[in-house]
Amino acid sequence: MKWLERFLVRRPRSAECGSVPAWARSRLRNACRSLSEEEANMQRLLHLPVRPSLTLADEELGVLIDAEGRRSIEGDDAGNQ
Amino acid sequence: MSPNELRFEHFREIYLSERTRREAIRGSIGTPVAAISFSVFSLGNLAARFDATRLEEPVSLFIAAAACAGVLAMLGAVYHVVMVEWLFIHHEPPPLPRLVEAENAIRTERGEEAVVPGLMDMMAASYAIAFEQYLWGNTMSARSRTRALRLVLLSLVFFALGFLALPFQKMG
Repeated sequence: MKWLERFLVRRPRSAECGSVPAWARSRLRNACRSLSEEEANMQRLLHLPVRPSLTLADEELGVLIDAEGRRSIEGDDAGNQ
Repeated sequence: MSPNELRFEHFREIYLSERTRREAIRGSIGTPVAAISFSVFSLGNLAARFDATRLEEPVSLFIAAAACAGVLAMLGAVYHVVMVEWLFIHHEPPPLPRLVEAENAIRTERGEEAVVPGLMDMMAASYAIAFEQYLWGNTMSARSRTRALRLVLLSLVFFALGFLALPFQKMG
């Protein structure tokens, strides 16, 4: 009966990167990389001890991708290469 | 007001206004969508009254060409309406655990007095990044919305031209 929950309960989708399908991960890779670069630039500019870690929200998939999730998506690219 | 506070206030304000603009753009898609519906209705009316058996006549050719151009413009408008929201990614400031982590790091590295300015700088940086991403996304969305509106108006003009020529086909 668990499948019925999809219709009866509006569950928050997991913010973990595992919930992002493979085809979307490749699509999001550029956005993640560009955001990480921006964060690194800001950290250098303002001499921040910690990077500002923004959250990405993809409405098409209904997922939130935090800094760890972004690193995982960017890591896919390194793994593929 | 210190430079940190100025940066923080400035970028927070423009980030919030750009986020509001996002919703305004999303809300304004309704106008081209309604115009597209009307355009489809116009096309249906024109097609119902058009006599396709007399396509060799110049007036009929003109009406057919206007209808085809109208359909192409309308399809272009539909494409741009879809592109308004296509693959838009929202950027949101860091969650509370990241802020607490940053606060602890600043306290350890630079002492207690550096915590507030340091956090302000970090928030200003977050707002600045999110603002730029929103600004870029909103600019692209606004461009698509404007193109959709122009194309649907163009399609209505073509259908109107077709309707204008229709009585001449009837007379012929």
